[in-house]
Amino acid sequence: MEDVDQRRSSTAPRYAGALMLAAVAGHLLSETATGALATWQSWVLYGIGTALLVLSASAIDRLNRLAKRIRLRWVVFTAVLVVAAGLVALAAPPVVAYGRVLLLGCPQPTEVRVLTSQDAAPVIGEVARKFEQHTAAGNHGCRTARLYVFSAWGNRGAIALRSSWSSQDLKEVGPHPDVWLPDSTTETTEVVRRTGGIGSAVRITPGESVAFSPVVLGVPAAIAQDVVSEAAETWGELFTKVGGTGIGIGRPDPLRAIDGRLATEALYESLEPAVVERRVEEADRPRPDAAVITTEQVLMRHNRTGCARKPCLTALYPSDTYRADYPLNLVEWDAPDVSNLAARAPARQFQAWLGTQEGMTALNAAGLRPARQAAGPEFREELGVRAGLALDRAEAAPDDAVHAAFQKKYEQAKRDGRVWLALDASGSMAEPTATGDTRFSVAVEGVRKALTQMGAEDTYGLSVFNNSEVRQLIPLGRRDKEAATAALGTVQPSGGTPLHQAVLDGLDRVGANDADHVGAVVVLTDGEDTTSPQTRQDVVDAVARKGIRVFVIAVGDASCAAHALTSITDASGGECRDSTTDTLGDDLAALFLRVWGGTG
Amino acid sequence: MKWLRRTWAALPRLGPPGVVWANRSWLAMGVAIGIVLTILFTSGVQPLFRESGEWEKGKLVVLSGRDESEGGQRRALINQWNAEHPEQPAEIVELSSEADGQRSEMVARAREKADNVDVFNLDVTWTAEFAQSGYLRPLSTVDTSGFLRKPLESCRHQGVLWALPFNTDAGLLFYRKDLVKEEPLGLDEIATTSTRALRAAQDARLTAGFGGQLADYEGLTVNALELIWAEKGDVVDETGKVVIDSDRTRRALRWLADGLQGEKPVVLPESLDQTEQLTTQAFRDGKIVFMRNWPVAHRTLQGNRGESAGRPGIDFEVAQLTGPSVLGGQNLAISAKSAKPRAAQALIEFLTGPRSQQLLFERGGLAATRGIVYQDSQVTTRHPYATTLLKAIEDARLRPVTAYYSRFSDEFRTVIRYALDHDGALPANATQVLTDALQGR
Repeated sequence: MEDVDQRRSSTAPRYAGALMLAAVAGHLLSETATGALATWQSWVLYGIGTALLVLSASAIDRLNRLAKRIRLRWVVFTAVLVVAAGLVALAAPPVVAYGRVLLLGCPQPTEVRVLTSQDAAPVIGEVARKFEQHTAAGNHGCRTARLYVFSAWGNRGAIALRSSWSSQDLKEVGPHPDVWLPDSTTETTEVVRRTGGIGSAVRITPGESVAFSPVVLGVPAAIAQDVVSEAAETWGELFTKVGGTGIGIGRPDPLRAIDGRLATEALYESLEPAVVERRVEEADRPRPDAAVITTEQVLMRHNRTGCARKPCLTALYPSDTYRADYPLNLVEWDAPDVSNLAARAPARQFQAWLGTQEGMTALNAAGLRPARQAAGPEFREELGVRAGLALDRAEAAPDDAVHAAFQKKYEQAKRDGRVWLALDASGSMAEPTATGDTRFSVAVEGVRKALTQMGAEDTYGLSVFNNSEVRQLIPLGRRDKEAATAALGTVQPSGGTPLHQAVLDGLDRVGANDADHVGAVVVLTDGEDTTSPQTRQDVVDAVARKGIRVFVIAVGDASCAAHALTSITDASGGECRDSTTDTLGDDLAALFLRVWGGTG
Repeated sequence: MKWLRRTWAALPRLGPPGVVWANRSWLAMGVAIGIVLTILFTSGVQPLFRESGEWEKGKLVVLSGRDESEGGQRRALINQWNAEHPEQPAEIVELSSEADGQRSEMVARAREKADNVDVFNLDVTWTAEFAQSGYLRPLSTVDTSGFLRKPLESCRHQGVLWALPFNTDAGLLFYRKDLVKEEPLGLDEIATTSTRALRAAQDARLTAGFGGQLADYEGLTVNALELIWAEKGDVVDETGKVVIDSDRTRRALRWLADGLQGEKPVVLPESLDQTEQLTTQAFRDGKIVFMRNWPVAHRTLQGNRGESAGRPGIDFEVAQLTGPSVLGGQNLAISAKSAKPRAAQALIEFLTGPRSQQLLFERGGLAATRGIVYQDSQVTTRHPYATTLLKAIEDARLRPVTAYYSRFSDEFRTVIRYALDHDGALPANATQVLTDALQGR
């Protein structure tokens, strides 16, 4: 017996070891053949695994002999096994994860898409970076989430969500969001209601406000000295005071931007709507030497980074102001190909983190005021803001009933639109589109559609441009919608593109804004300027000097970004829009709606 | 061993009774039958189980950024494919024009269980990430001859071919012909030529010497890498080690930081807020002598070459950068989840084929990934920079290859912005931070 045991014990491990080695060699060959072992890290891992396997195989016999000396060995064996299994179960995941990180680098973080407003994007981006760093802290320095923060103009994001993110939205706004962080809770209510139905591909879980930023009146520092007083003043009082100094007061479109709307609603409470509307100009962002209605955080950021010329803006806090309250809504997609399930957990984590001390400090540092924490050291006087606030209102925004009444009042009070429309009639406009019509005829059809949006008191004029001339077809002041189509029917597109000349001509013809009128120039072009004597800078200067909004629709070869057409439109709070021949009609209509101030 | 010998000895007795199997010839018989059976099996039975070479039927979904070619040439090519292959129609799902947004949507879709995409149109910097994450299916049996070496290199990761190059790109140096006598060979020459031109004040519009894309986005990464390479410095070497801490790198960064200073600066200070289009605008308005930009700027500038109605024209020339350029472009890869890999591969081969590449370059202005297209006379007349571009692409270098490229690029830009504020000096932890970023930390 003893003999037999002896012999077995001496050969069995060798056989087992040899067998294992043979298996490993075979496996190794096949792995290298398929290219799985391409990095030195994978070789190291392979080596460790092999050594463990061969060693354990050769050690079996010795362990066996050892075990035979133990009494109640089955009990002991089971106990050891259980303890070992427990240890492995507990220790393996972190050890394996750490080993993986050491050898192969971090696992890729989960992609979380955060949709926010253009105003909030820089702030949320900054906070998101801090959250990413936070996720790295307990995870060997590897971030578990990556937050892609993007924004859409005005209420474009809300509209896209309502239509379940169409392919057009995917192209123009961005990827499907997992988190929607709009400026105000009032924006979410309607979207949540519209998307809540059965069969909707998107489900929005409304969340609480993460922080707030009061709507303020930003005034140039020099003027602020004269108007600031110790006593609390309302929107109406401040507006009258600042208006009395003679500087312009810019306001974002109240039908599309939340700060413009909240301020206007407060203003209408104490002032005649018409008085307010005659005094404001449309402005999306702060301009030098003018007052602006905006949120505190935008003003602060402008003072910190965007303000080239000191003195910058000082925030005036009306006592009856409302505030942007940044609710964090979770967005879930039900379509199987875009659901991005993995993002749901980190999205919730982000939401929870914003409520922690660390999250609130991050919000504060970025310029927002978390509800449960006092304003931090960032809120300094040099940045034009005040740390301590005394606001009268408990609610962040007026309720929906007030909002509906407001729209009606605004409709009646706003100034009438005067639009100068300039159409590109260069040779390239004669190119056929996918449907067989020329670009020009598609544009004419778009104009016809857009003119139906005209309000009761609105007027328009029309010119076409090609070669080196701008030709007036219809003088300003017409209300006849058919005249445009008839006049355009006679135009034969040919020659170059005097785009700059067309813009300057439009500015002259539409005339300055006055108490009852607000003008705009709309230019439709399919190419970059080729034949104007004026440079881009001349145009930008003229637009800025006259303060008339310029809108450009770029089709075909033209592109807002590629040709920097936005530099013209930005000079006056206008907009450049890339369009295709399929969407040209709708884009023109949307633009006219904006110029004529319809409710959309 | 004994049993074998015993069996061997017993062999003659194993034949059927009554038949004389002399000399164990049944063994030879068995071998013959074995051979016949094997042949029958391999030629008759096995093919039934082998994958067929035919293309799968059904719609092919291509996930891509916006088509920014002239006149939508990519779409035109897809239409052509659809006309020729009605059983495998392709559909482009266009994503936003911002690269980060495209990546975000592609990654999210790649992680879905559903078979929702067949072909990815990937930026050259994403190959490593997508390959390593298992989102791609390696390409096999592809003919890669005819592709330019550098673009093809960007399709490989760790020795495996994951994609085929769709279009490529390389930065070029645009300069004013009236102000520059000969092509500059280094950053110092750019500085001296600029200073001379600014002093001579031939052109009142001139405000600086050199303009690039230094706003805080991928453009800054690209421009900074090229400037460092121009001074023969480096950031990450071939073995993946961070080597940014060198005198040459610091010299390049000091050139940039110092250049931005002064009354008549060598580097246009507005560059710090400029993207490709704004730099083109500055060059077109005569503000700068030299401009670093992608060849697409040529299209915009060409129209302004001559004098027109009172506005002075811009007479310019295109040359290679003084150092290697960053390689740009996009590659087409098959999604690992695609149920139609053969049809998808056929589509990719069609889109990267010589005829498609010719059309995309000639009509769409997207630089071709095949050398032969650059020899075409129609291409060279329509795009006179083609020969220079080809050389620039051949000399171009890839941005650091890592599965965490976007993290690396973020951190690298932080380092560069620090250097610009500190006269070219690097932050003390630059090497550590970048090394971590390459590992995704």
